[in-house]
Amino acid sequence: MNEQFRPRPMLHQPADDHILAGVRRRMADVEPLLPAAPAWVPPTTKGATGARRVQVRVRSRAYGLRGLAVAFAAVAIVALVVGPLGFRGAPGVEATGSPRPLFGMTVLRYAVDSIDGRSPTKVEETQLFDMIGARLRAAGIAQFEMAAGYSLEIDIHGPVDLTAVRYLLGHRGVFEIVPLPPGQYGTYLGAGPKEVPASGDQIDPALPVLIPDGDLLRNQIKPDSSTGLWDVQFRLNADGAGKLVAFSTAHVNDFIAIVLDGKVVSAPYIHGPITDGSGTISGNFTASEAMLLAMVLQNGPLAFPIHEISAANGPSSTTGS
Amino acid sequence: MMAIVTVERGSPELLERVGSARPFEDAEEAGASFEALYRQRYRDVYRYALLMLRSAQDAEDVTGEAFQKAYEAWRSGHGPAGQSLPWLLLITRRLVIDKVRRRRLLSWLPLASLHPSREPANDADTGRTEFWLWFERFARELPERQREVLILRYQRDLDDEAIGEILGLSSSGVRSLVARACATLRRNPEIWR
Repeated sequence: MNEQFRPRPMLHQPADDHILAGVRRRMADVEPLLPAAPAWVPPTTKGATGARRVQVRVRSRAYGLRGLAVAFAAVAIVALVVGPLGFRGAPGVEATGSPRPLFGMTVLRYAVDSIDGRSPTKVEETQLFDMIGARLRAAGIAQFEMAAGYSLEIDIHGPVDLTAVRYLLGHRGVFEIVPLPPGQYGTYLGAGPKEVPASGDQIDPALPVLIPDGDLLRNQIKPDSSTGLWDVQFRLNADGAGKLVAFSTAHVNDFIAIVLDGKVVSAPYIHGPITDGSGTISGNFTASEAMLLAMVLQNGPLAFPIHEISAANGPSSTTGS
Repeated sequence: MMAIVTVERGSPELLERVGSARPFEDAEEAGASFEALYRQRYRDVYRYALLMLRSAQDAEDVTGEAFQKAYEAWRSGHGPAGQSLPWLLLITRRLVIDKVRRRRLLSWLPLASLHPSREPANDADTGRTEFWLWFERFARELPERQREVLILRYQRDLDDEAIGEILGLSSSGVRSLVARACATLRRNPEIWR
């Protein structure tokens, strides 16, 4: 027989049935993980359910909307009561020309930190004022004055939630996504020599940033509680989404760190390719924490970081009487 | 009172009763009948949701919601046209897709429960970890549709036609998807051996 027509030995190929039987055998290991059916409670009205957790979630959402309505009402009442009193503004910033109230004022003093040894120029200082003003207005604080001397002084008139203001001004707001190298931090499937950083840990500054703050779409950031927990949803621009899809496709099961101002907010692992350029920042937030974080990110990072020096009630020493 | 187990086994007159889309005469009949279906199929629906979502809490939520929607539909005469399991899984699948969209493909779980090395090493947990380690590998190698068709294939009593109903495919489309999944798995024998 000609060499050319000699039948070649066939390589053994397992049949599909054989493969499916193998998968079925491995899949059967899920059975011990399945719970028994809880007692069936037929829903009595449309929208109710026998599953307790779903009921809780519905209530939670209703509470969220009610909370928002209450917050809006509170802001409206404050604006109506305090608005007519008005105040005399410092030159250039939030000035209305009306008399300053003599009570119910909080005076906060901040120091402006330098970046790489450089202090802000006059223009940058104005930008910083604008950004701080935007954050305060986003939180429903309408009446305030700012003045720059040896320190940055912010006088807030009327009732104020100091914790919220400190959160808003205490975070510069630089968002980053930093991949955690599997050689150091391991993957979802196995630990590495270093611990995956926990919430609040400082991120290693030597690690390269995958998604910088500039890739966030500011108008697509929102707090959300649809899963029953409060978190902040974000969306990236085309550039950021492209980088994320390429990275997530090649690094399934690797850890990444969501970083705010150099500190880790959460360090999830990549479940699968992230194709829509969106994600969620979660960290066991309360409703107000999620809303404040969203406000910080929506308004963009402060041009220069600031830190609080003092907080007091009473008239201002530099802009007040 | 109707016995759902008998319906599932194909008693013609009861199958006709379930598939007739006729509203139940009274709430008691509907409730008792549905409870039998719930008891029989809870684990099947939960298993599908668990394997699709890989989160026990999400699976519990989705399963509860799926039975609620199924009950509302059944009571108002929009029950299954044939077997109840594909109908239940179709409802569940829509909820799973909603859930995955909400989750935005990223799972932000507490880190303490993520890392296998940090799990307590008792027998139950080891078994759980072993299964999930295998499943993560299985899920990583197979594209989403191929993975889903094999998960559905594992569900009891589901033939190609029923799987096609759930996935919106013809029977031949399902067979083709299974064949492609097998071709993928053939290159990764450690997953099925």
